[in-house]
Amino acid sequence: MSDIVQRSASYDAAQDSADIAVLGRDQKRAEEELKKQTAHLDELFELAPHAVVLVDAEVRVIRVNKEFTRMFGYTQEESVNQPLLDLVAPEERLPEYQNNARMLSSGQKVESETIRKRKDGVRIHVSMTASPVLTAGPIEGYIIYRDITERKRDEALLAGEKRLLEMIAKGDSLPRLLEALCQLVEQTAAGSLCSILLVDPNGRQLRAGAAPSLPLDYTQALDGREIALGIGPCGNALLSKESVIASDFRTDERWSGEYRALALGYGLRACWSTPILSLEGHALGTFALYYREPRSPTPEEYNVIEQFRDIASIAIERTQAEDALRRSQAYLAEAQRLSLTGSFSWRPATGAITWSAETYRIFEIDPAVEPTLELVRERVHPADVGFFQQHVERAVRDGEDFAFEHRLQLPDGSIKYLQIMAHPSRNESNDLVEFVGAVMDVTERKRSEDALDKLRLDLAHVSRVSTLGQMAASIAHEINQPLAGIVINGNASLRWLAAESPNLDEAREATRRIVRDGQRAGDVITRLRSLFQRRGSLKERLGIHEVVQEVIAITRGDVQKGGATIRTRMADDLPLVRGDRVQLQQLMLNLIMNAVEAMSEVHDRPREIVISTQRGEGNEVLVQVQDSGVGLDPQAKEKVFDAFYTSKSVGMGMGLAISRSIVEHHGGRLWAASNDGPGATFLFTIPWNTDGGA
Amino acid sequence: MCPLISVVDDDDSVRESLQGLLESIGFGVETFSSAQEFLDSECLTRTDCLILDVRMPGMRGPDLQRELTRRKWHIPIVFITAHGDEDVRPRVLSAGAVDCLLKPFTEEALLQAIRSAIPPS
Repeated sequence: MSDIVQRSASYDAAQDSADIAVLGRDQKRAEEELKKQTAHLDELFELAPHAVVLVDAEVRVIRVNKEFTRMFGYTQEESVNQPLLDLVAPEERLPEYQNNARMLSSGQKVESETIRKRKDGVRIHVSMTASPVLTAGPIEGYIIYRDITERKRDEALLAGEKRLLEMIAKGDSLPRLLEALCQLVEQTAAGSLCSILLVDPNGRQLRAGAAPSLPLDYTQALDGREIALGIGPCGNALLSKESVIASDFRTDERWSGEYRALALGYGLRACWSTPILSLEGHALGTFALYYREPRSPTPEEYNVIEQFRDIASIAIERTQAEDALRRSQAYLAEAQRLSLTGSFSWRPATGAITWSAETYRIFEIDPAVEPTLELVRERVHPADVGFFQQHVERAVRDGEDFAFEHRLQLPDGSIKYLQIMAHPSRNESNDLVEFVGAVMDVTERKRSEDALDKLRLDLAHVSRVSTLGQMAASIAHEINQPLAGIVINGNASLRWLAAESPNLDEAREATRRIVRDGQRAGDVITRLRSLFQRRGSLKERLGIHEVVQEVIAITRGDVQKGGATIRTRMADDLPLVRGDRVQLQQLMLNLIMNAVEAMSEVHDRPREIVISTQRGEGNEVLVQVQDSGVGLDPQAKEKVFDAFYTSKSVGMGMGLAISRSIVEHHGGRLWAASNDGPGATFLFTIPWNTDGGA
Repeated sequence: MCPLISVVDDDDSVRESLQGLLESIGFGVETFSSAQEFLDSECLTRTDCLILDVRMPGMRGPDLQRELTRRKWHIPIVFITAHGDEDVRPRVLSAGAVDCLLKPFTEEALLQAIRSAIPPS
């Protein structure tokens, strides 16, 4: 350390003279350095990508850079010494003063976004950074401008788009939507007059959509025009499905004289029209920008047009789809009302039920009430509740299509007949999600059917009576002829015998004729009997199951009407029997209808018919028809097969008698047995290894 | 000379039995199995009483009655029928028939009708 101090002292002395020379040299170097730096700063100032301006304390321009002259359109010379506030848009003057005041007073950097007016009057959005230059001299400041017009436009566009899409989502009306769209476009594309024309649903005519700034008379003149070439850029755009640019109507020969006169008459010089297409490519309308001076679109303007055209397309398609939906909903509601058919959905898992308006009307329940199964059950006719419940349970258990009829009993006591049908819908894992179905009010149909049934019965009665009458007359004629002969011959015979000298030959002859006529009357009776006992052939080989199924099919309506269901338990591999199909069908029909009638008064248990088949003892097929009806009086078990025996208020009591005669005709037996539980079973056998009985 | 009774009936039993009975009483009897057969016969002019069936194949009893009226042959007619046709009886009676008997009829009813047709001379 002391060594260094020493060396330093001697050095200091030697240095003094040399230092002066160095000082002069350093100063020169420093000056050069400063010059160099200033040149660099100048260059930086000039080449900065943002507009930079240096101002004095009165905010007069001291200096501007190249970008400033480009951005605002003033030259250096025009700018210097001018108040910077000349650049400021009038509405921005006040905030601008405040900004400047803040900067100058605080000595702090101030950033803001504002609007400036170019020399040519065009307004531009700028972001501005103002910073004071803190020197000992007079206060100066730098202001840096960045042109953010494009960003601002993009932001405004985006906000506008968002607003439009919200309007579409909210379901605003199409005219309002299109009007808002036009206004937004006009804000974005300065000087433009936006117009949207729609294609009429018939596809042939133009319809006014929205054009808030175009003269109303001009828009009305286009409304209803046939779409054709030459009627204007919009017609051409629709037909070609391409954008059409008409830069100047005055020089463009593509348009009819009439159209040009119309457009020019309203001061319109240019029009850029682009077709609005649906997703499928159908023309929905046109989106057009008009200008009052000749113009062609810039690439940016093209982009804007396409952007808004797409929004217009969404708006139109969405509105049209909603209109179509509303229309089809209205049609559906009207169709439901006219056909007295309501619809419903039912989720068994949650019990949730939805009804259409017509379903509410059918059930006569206030649409404000949420439907439940309990509510439905309360309206089901008491006699049908069990039956209804069975179907509901089966639907939940099987999850398959269902259809049935039941009655409603409304609070005022009136009765309605309903036909219910539903189809299950399932999720991907095949679980039942809900039933979707229809409820038809068939009361009127039922009433006319009942009236028709009654009429048919009356007719059948009339026809039976008149047939019987005719038959009686014809039988009387056939019998009366020989009877007359017998009586007359008897009288004659008596006379021949009573004569003073009896004429035995004549008497014998008369008596012979009596015998002959008596036999003739007997023959008439025999012929009649054979007429009534016409029997079918037993030649056909048939499966008893087919017969059973055929009859189940034809009696389905009656069985359902009787509130009953049929279950079958068929044995496999039953041999064919020989018989008369029609007679065996008649037999099954009688037994099924007999079972339905036997259960008509049953309300405390399901009305169920079980039809089962099996091999009987020996070579015969045994068929059982079991019901859950009122059962059989033990004494009546045989009587039920007698002709004219009936326990019912209607019918002739012929069904079971005929059934027995059919079975016996086939060589089988028909009998009745009481069930262990409620109801009765009718059993019959048909042999299968013989050619039949009779 | 005994009165002649003509019987027109398509039924053999009725024809034969009536012939036997009326002959046993002493009438002359001619029988015909159809109306046309009677019209074609020479008995037409000699018949004192016609016993006529209502329903027959071809020309029916009332048709024959009308035909005779048209030809102005006033033969007393006793209709007989095995049918209980309610409306036939008043029709034939108003057209001049003596009676209309429903088969089987009693001998008494028949003879009374014949007596009305052929008053005892």
